[in-house]
Amino acid sequence: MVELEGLFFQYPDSQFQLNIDELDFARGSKTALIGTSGYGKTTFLNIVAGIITPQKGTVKVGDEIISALGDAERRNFRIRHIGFIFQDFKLIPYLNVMDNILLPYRINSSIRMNDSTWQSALSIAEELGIGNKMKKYPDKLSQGERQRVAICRALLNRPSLILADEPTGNLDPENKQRIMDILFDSVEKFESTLITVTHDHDMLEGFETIIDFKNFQAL
Amino acid sequence: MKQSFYLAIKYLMFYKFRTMVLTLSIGLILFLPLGLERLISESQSQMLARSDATPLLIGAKGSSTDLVINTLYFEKNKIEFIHLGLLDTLNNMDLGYAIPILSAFKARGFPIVGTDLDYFSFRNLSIASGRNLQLVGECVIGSEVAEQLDLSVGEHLVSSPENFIDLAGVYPLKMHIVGVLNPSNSPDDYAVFTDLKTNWIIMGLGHGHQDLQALNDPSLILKKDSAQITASAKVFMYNEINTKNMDDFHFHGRMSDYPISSVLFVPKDVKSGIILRGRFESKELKEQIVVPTVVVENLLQTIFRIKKIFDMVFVLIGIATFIIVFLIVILTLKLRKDELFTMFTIGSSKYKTVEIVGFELIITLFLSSSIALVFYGLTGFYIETFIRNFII
Repeated sequence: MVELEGLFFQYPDSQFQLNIDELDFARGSKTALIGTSGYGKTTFLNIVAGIITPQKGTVKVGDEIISALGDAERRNFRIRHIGFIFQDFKLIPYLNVMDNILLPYRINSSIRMNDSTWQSALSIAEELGIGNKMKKYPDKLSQGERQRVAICRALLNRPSLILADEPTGNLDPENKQRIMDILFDSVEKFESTLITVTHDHDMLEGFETIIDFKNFQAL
Repeated sequence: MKQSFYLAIKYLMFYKFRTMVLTLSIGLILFLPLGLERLISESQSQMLARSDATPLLIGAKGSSTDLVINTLYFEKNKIEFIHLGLLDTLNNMDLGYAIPILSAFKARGFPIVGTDLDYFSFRNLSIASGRNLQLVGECVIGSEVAEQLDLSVGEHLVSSPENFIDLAGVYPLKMHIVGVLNPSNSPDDYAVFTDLKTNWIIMGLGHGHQDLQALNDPSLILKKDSAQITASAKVFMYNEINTKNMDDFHFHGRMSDYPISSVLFVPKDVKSGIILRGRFESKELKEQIVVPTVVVENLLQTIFRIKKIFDMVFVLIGIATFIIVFLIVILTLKLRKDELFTMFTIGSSKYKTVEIVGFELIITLFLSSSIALVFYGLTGFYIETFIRNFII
């Protein structure tokens, strides 16, 4: 599903370098990326998502070599095939739950919103237990509810790849487990590939592959 | 674009207070120069229209501006009087007709204007309800007086005493309202019209009291001989003129010496006007004659000079506002950096972000312009107030 080869990336004016000879993620797999801060886990996610492009190497997601695509094409690819989940949820404060879930459809014209989009948003929200919160604004939601809204937003276009950057980082233990369960269930339901960056080692159960980013070793 | 517009609306609605303050501030700054421009240009039109419709004014020597403002707007009451005899002199010249104006008192804040019936036809003033002046002690009120004081035909209006503690001075006179004028969008709407005699009674030049011949109380009579009776201040003075006491009202002295504020002169033709002006300029007549339009134009020149200063101030305020709005946009974008980056991460382009913020600005400016236009529209209702409070 995701194949990286001969990857090299370095931020301008920075000593940090990301070098990956070869790394593959199978379709439908669930992978956790661990390791202390500064080893480039988030940078890696951004490269896979096509937000930043490597100086060398290829990044292939599905059948598309996204490292070879132009800006607009990468954006369009990302919004259609990749769901992003962030540690701090990244909900838009002035949009209610429904509008936050529908946000991808409002910021990129390559995907069109119609009645079925609304229905999908509602049904995913109901599955995640926030169906009755659709008109609430983020500041009126609990942390767990906010992360569920963020997951709904990521899942709405049934992405083949879900990238989660510390999705449980801001949650209490009870919510952490609940969110991971929801994430795993959703990934299985949509047959998506999940790549998660996490520092919560007690949440690693359930991942098929765990990669320590310090030396790119699968544990 | 539709979606960007939607997001912009959502942003502005969520931050209602911020949007309201920004919109109102920009709206007011847009309105100020426009409003002042309208106030001044419409005031100019109204003032020139009134002065153009008044060919010549004659009054005591002194400030020509005060004379014009007293006669055209019934303000600046303290101008020197001239004598009624001048009216006959002018009419006898056969150069046109003269209308007397006596504007010296007020009733509940509105000027009392003593004149004759020619004034109403000269100004094309028509009666909306009731009738025109017929008897002493009656008044016809302008439409604004009627509305603001909630008065109508059959009610009374009392003249305001000049000095409350001066018992020997001007007594308040209770005037009968016999007519209300149709609105004319002119100072006549704000005036209380009476005949000259009623004004002279308010001045104390004419009065009505108990019949002195019939008085039995000796304390009321100071001196009595075959020719004259001198009464004390205890004699009851009438403060209202009605059919029962009308005959008890009388005037002392020669009528031609009675005071008026000015004379509004309507010449038969241009030549007659020039001849009349010549007679005043040659000192044949000791009063001054003025062409109101010339005086008003001079007055407006001063206003325009002040307006130029305001224009400069507004330009500076406009520049300052532009800088502030620019700063607000920059700071807002900085505060929203995280939100805009989220959109970018999900799949938005930088162009989309500019589009959303652009719509927010356009909507804010649209709302501000609408507020400015509403205020601009409302300005029209305050032209007369502006002229009264700031120009004359």
